[in-house]
Amino acid sequence: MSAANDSSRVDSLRERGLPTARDEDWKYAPVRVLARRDWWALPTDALSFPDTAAIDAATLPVDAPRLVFAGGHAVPLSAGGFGALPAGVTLRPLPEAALASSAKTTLTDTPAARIELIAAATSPGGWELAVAAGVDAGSLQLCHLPAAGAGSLVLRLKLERGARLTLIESMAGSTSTNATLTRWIQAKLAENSVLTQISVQWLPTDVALLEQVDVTLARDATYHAFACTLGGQAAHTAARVTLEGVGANAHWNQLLRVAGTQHTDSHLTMTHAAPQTRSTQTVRALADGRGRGAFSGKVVMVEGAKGADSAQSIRNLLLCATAELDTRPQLEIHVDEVKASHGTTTGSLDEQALFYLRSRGIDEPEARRLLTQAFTAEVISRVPVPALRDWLTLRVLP
Amino acid sequence: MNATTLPTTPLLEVLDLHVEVNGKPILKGVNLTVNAGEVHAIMGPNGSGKSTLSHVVAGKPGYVVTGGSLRYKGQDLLALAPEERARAGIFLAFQYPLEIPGVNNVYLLKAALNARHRHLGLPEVDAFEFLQLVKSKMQRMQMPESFLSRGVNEGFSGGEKKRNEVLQMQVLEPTLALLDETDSGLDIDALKVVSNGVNDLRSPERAIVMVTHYQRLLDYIVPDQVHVLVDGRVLLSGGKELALELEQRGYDWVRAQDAA
Repeated sequence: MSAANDSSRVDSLRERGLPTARDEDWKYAPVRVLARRDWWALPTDALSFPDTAAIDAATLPVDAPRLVFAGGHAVPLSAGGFGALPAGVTLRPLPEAALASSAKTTLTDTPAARIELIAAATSPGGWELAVAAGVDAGSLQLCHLPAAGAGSLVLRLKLERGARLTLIESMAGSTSTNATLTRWIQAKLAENSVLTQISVQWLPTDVALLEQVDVTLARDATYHAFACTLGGQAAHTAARVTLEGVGANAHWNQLLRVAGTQHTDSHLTMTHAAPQTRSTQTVRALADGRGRGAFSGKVVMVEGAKGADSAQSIRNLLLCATAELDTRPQLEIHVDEVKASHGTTTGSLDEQALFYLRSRGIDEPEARRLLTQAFTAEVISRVPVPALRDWLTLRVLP
Repeated sequence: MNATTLPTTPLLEVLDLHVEVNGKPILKGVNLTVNAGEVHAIMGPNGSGKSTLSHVVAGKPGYVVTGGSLRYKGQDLLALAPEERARAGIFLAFQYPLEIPGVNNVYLLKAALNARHRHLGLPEVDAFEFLQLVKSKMQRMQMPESFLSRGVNEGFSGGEKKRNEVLQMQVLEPTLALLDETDSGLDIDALKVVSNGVNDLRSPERAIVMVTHYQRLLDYIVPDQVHVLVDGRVLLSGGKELALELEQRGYDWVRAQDAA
């Protein structure tokens, strides 16, 4: 156990439990399923890392160096190291003080901050992954597996001025049933840096997930996000992207798929805090079976964000009558001379298109499959890793 | 055409066909026989049921057959799903071909041809040969190379969509081709290209049924028979000269003659 863990603090958090559906940010969350899991377990010394086979099974088919985290621990992949990192990239433990301060002072206990509070309080110690100034680090895969007794992951990503990184995250695998995964990722993008974050959540369908992602962008920095939510039993995820520097760009793309009895609640807050900042949000959600999915996308333009430009497109595809998708687009604009567009649609597969394909000899299940894939293509086709595009195209089907 | 003394089963046999859409009767006893080797034109005013007839033959859901029969090569067509009809050789060129972004043109064509091949007990098409075939047909239809990488009809102009329908027809080589107002919205150059594409398919084994408003198309694709569909029934049938007469005298003349 790390000195960062304060068991009395954890006890008080446990007492308060998770927010309920009465809280606006948790209104569509699978609160009942989430509340049944133990999110406050402290990391223990008796943890067991996943074996090589489990790690390989949780690895995406991309040609990139690999980092593996089990809960909050980095898993040693070779003697004395965590794998071969690209040149210019370093991984080091966060100073205890950094974690302790974020857990105690900088965060107030509001429902919106609950995930990072839990993550910080139950982390065995956080990590910092940094890319040095001017370095194009290429691609790096980060596999994140749930592991009993391994605590929560707190990870800070630091891209120095002009640095570039494509971070491919795979949340998958599990060594126990009804596991939980808690993660808090903070990314700080310095001037002119570019982070592409492709995050694929394909956890087993009994895992529950709490995730908080915070990204801040300095002048002319660019963030391309691809959040692909495919697995898990219940999840509440939140991302806060803040365009702090003039000319910063953020493009949020999300694919959200629920089937069976899966229930995922996903939030994004995109804050334009500086002039000439641009953002797009493209969300494609599909639901089958008794699956429930929700996406709340809030765009904030603060006073002073002159010339900000944001475009949001959310489309929901319901594949059967028992599935449910909820969408909450929100605009909060405190400045003139900005552009903000948004559009939301919800529907089922187009019957005319189905007939067109069938009239060409394609049988009905195949025609449905093709149209479902076509629906997701708008997000998948933008994923800048071809091998992942093919992989996602196959996996996205319910 | 190709007269034979042997009794043959018609390719398409429509007998006293009654069809409702949303509870409203559209076809009220249509009779039509189309033999292999023939080209038929179905003309008629707006709302007469021309498009409904072609959709019913292709199997579009939502069209309720309340009476009569529909046979293809002697087989009850109503028992077959749209995809089964397609594999058996029926092709409908749509009046308004759909845009399906995310489903690639070539992928659809290949899947369609393979479905037809499986039905006929033929091996799947070789990828290279298939591409060569598509490219040669594209040239014939004067379609740009960029077509290959695009989604089905994605961003196509009205004329390009119609060309694409005929291109699909050329690749799939159907036994019974139904053209639903394929000439509408085409300028004269496009009309020639599309007509050439259709004429390529004329053969003793194949039949073509064109639904059209205008006589103009029939200058390029000369029919063996012309039928006039008015208010859900075929009121008059004749040779190609009937189309010219309709052009001059209008449909009221047919109605008046029927009433007499």
